[in-house]
Amino acid sequence: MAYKKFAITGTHTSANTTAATAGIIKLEATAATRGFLYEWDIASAAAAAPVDQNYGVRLKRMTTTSGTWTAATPSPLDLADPAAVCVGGVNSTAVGTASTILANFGFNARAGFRWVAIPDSEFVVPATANAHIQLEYFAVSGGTDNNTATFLFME
Amino acid sequence: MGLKMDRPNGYFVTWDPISGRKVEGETRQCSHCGFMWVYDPFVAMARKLGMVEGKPVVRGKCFNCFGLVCGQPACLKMGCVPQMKQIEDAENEARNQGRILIT
Repeated sequence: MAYKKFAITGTHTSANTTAATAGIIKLEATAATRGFLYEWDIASAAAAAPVDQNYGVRLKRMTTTSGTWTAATPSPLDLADPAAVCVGGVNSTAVGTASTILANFGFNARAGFRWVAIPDSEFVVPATANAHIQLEYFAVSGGTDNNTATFLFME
Repeated sequence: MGLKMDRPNGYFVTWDPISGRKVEGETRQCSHCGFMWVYDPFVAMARKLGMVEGKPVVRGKCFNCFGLVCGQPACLKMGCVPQMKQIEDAENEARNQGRILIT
């Protein structure tokens, strides 16, 4: 079965610096289909050259609605594909609830970070309403949070 | 998905902004809870031998499903429930919640 591939991208702005666990981006499945997260990256979105600053981000698996998200429509990587069934969200302005942590990573603001799954090792979002995987900060940083993250997924 | 015996589940890349060097590595994933970590056998061994500071993180292998396990207490407590089984259980539970039983 050929999967359709999509991208969600969004910027997490400095307004949320005080929320230690504010969500940056999320991939949410629906009861109709699973989502397979196969690549994600994050890098500074600051207009000026970023200074040395470490950010701690983590992937978290959620089963219920968490945070206050701005909807982000997934863009098909193949323009012939129909719209995605899964939905995206960016720039949550509220701290999410605790749930299963899937990964913790630190990166320098001047460097960015990219992770790619080996085929068949993607993170799976179950086909249930409100189930999602989100990327969020796990600590308040000393700098100004202004990072752009991208999720690439298939369904 | 995620269960790849002891093989990596993904790769990452970042940069050291001081030296400008690219930093690449591979990640492994727990076959039970899905937790992912950076695979660094040499650092783990060096910590075990006391050559570098830091407590070695204990990972392991499940001899029931033969997948890697993260070794986190909450995960070990759960026992051997493969990740995809958990996902399928969650989906089945959600589907069954809305069903009407006609007798």
